[in-house]
Amino acid sequence: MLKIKRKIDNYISNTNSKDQNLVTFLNANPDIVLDIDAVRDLIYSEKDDQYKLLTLQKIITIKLLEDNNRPKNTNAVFSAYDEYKVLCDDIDVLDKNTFELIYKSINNIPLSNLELSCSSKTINIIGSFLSIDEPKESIISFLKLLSINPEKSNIERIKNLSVYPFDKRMDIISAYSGARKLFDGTLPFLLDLLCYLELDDEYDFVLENKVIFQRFSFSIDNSVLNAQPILIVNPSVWFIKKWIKNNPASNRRTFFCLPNNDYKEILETKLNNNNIYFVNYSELDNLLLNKKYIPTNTLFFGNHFDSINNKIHLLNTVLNHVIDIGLIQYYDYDYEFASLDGTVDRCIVSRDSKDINITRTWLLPSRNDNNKKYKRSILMELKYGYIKEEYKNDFEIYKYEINKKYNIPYITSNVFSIVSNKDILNKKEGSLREYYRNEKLKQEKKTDLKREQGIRINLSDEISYVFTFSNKKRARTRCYFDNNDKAIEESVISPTKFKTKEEAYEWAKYIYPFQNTERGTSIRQIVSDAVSNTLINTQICLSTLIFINYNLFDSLPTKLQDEMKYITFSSIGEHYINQISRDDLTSFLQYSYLGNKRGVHIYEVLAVLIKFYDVAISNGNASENTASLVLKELRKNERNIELAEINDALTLKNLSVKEINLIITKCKKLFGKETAIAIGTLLRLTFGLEPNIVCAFLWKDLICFENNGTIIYQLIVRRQVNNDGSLFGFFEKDYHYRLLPIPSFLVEIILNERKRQLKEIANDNEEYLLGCTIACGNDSVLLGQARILSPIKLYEANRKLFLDKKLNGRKLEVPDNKGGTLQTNIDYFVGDIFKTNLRHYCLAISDDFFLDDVLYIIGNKATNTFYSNYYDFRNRESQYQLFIKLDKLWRQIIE
Amino acid sequence: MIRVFPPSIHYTTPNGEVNFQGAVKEMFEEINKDVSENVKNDYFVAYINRIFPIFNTSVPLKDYDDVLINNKILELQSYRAVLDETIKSDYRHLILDPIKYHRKKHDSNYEEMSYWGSVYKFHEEKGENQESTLSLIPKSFGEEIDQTARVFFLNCEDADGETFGLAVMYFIGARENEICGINYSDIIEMQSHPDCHYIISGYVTTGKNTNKLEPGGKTRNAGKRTPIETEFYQTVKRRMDKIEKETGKSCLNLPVACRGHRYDVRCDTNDLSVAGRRFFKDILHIRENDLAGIAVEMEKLKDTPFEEKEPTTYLFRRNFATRIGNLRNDKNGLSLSDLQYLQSHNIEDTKVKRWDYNDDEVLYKLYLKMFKK
Repeated sequence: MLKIKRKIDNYISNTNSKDQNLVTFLNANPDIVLDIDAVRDLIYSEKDDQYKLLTLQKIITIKLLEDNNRPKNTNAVFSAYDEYKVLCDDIDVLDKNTFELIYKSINNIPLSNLELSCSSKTINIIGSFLSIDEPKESIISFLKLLSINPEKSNIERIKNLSVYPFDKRMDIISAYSGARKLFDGTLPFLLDLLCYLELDDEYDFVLENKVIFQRFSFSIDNSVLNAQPILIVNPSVWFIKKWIKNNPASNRRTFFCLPNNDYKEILETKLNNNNIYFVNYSELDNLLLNKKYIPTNTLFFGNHFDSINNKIHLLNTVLNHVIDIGLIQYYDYDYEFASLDGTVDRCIVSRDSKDINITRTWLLPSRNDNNKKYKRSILMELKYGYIKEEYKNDFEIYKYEINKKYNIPYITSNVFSIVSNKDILNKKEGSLREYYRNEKLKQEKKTDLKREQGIRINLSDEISYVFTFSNKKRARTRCYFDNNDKAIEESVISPTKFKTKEEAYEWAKYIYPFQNTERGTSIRQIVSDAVSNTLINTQICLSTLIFINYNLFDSLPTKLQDEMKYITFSSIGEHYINQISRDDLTSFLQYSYLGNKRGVHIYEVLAVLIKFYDVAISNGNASENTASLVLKELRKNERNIELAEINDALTLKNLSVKEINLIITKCKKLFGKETAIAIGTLLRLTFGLEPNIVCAFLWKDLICFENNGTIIYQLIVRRQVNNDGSLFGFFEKDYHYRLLPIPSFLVEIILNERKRQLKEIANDNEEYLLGCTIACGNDSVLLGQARILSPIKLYEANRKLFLDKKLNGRKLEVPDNKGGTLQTNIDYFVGDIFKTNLRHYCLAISDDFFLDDVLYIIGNKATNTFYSNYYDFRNRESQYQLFIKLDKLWRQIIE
Repeated sequence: MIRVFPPSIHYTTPNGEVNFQGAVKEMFEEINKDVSENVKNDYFVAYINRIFPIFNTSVPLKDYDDVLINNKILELQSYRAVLDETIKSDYRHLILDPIKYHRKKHDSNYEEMSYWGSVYKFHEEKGENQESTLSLIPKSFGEEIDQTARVFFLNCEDADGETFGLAVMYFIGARENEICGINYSDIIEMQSHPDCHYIISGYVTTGKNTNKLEPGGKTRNAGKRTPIETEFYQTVKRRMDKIEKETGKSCLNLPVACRGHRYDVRCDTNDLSVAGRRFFKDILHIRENDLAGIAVEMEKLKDTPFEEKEPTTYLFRRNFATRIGNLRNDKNGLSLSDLQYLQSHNIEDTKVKRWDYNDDEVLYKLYLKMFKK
């Protein structure tokens, strides 16, 4: 702990060199904050590094103090927090939870003595040794002296005391006398002290020792009296302590083989258990020569050997003697695993014996390279026995975790085997963890239709799915669709937690199929992609048809989507499409929709059904469009649709040349009286524009350019005005925005009007004029500075124009289906006549125009990509060509 | 009001590098300095609730390339069915802008990535909406600019490879990746009509962000033979002679669009885009707002392919389309089928097939229609 404090103190004093940032520093010194994840809120917060360091320093100081003067109350963290607050008068105080997190993760000895299970007495002694920073070796040699000759040790100590500075001597005397008291006490106290000294080692952690202890003690059969002994080679002190405390093999002898005499001598003095023996490395050989002492269970700690030669030598010794019924567990860390280049493996494998049952265990930390977390989580076991026969499936990988409540390790139930041994020996630790994760994921994904709690739901004859739900989590209710032999699984988050199974069933049956998955794709799309190919040219149900055509379904407004769902789950949805007769469908629709029962008109539903039937016909699922037959029959009762179609085809939608000339003369006469209407009408006539656009033209929309000496005037169509002229608006589609060259007969009229307005309205202020309307009426609505002629007025004026006697000359007689005739009139169609008129003259009379030219002028979408996306109508050359064509056309008409 | 990004989010990767969240945190106020407070709040909430969760905090900002970013944008746009087009484009900017601004600020070598929509900021006219302002932006060069470009390209035999690539693009209106695939051997003389040449393009193209060739083009209509005018062929010829003189080898297998003056290194579409932007700015003096407008408009056009969402390609192709479109005349000019063939579009007329144009006689007719009035 003091070491840690020094590290951080050093760092704080050297932080002026900013080449190393805090996170990398902490990563390089993992003992300062063991679990960076736990404290990342602080470490990755916005605060500057100095602040973070100071906070850490303070907490470590407190921890140090706490460890030295161990408080008796159980609420240690909170009293520590109070102290911390007192300490922090210069920096911001952390909140309690963050403090607790950092406090706990800052050292591998937690304040609560749960993990080490040390007594508070020992902690005190350890604390005093820490405060004088006494090296481990001198403590051990002191303990050794005590064990050999307690009297002599006192004298030795006093002799050595002169080495220390005078002011420290009292502390040293008290620490050593404390240690002596411990030594005079019982064995556990002594072991606690040794434990602390041992677990300083970076290869030894309490958690792993716990796992190993658990796994080894499970393998011991304690029921046999006077059985062969147990051998534990090079264990950690913690392990010895645990063994003595729990004694899982109380009926058998246990031999601990320790690296040197020091520990052996120290421990043996206090040992009062007849079944436990300590031996050192050199004695092991002799011990095993005696058949009586050949162990049945052996645990070999490969993790803290000081040299690899020792390790191999000892391993050979053990392997030479342990035969027949021997069971050896070999325990190692991944550090060795990565660096050993198979020495241990070679040592074991070369032994050719088929009878030894050796299990080799690795503990793999879940640390990755970026973020060092010293938490091991993966356990890998390799059974060497029977290597020759069964080379495969020898590796088993487990995951172990800590049960937070009881603070004990446990091994999770997922076990995976690795197929090839050779591969695994080449694998690095990271890839093993990855392997475990992948295997686990695979296992989780494995599903089949026989899952428990599954309810099979039939959407239709063709589509069915199995639904499973759990009461614990409301999210991720899973259903999977049956597609021949393959199951498609998609999880969907349900909105609420289901209280009963019925409720869940209801949801799964009616709502789930129309939901989207967590990834955002709709269930229908997924099912359709998988199923639709198999359904071509077969009989399918109406509900299947609606369900599978998700594109069509999604394009519908919500109101109609609801109706389609209604039909899907209704009685008619269960029938095959070909078997639904016209009468069936009619009666169903009339029952459901007549009298606007469901708030939707029957025709709207039919229109959608016709589309679905069309798809069915093209896929060979149906032979005729029953829905359209129903529609026709229904319409016949109300109105004769065929006659309406004939009427439409025979209605005159254009003006004659004479009529056009008449309108132009009339408009010219209107100048001075109703100038706005005259200009508006002419603009409508020339370009086939809607009144809403014509009334919205401002003078700034009139622009011009010069081409070979001719000045070409253009109008920009970029806004419209609402029907009563009170609000400007824009267009929905971009092809409504356009640039129109003005033919020369209209240019004169417009320029004259401009002159007039400049004088009368704008007082020769050209800039002011830009904001005024071109069709500017006397009784117009004021919108900003623009006086707007309301489109309705223009429309009515145009209508009056057509009701004029001279224009109202022609009528059409169209045969009726009952043998009579119906009359149709040109003013019947006055709404769009300017547009259709222009289209007629451009395409039917003139040869110059291309279809897309006309579509551009009247503001319709182009028919092909070339014109809609690439050809630029706004280009001057293009405008010039358009001008030539329009000008020629209007010259012809007027002459 | 000051918005505080919650400290519970990690703004650096575990290695201490800036991640996307960090970039947003740093650049948020700068990017949105002109935005009203309410909208700023909306953006802020969108970042916290929707955008941050899909970005992994352990991925450093420098690892985001355009493919990864586009995936993120698509992921977000499909997330809980964001249907509204304006919201979609908002999200696009919310993701792109922090990365762009952050790189601009911290990386001196930063070059605009070409597929990232507009590098310029598009300003609407006062009192008008976006569409109406867009409707006035030219989609082609216009007479004077076109003339400038033409003269420049007819005399560009000494220019770098990217500029020469642009010249080919100007004269045949192909896509960028198709231009990158053209070699000098693809410029072919008509057998029965010497002095008339055409360029085959579109049968090999470069991939995205690479100069490696792949067979095929954007669609099956990509392949085409485009007649070129004699003046331009003279320019090409001069360049070929110059290269052969300098390298001492035949230039037939060299790419037309090369990197700088390294004649044997093929450039990729990004190089052409960068050169194109520079060309518009320095030579044609096209306003930045106009280019931005084109980019904005292209994002709206759903049927514009992703590869063409770049003002360079789009302007050159549009200009070419307009040029040939103006030569349309059903009696003795180009027909709609001709236009669609030259623009690599599907030919709608059922009488005409694409392979009809492989014949030299048909190509010569096309040549006459295009260049001999």
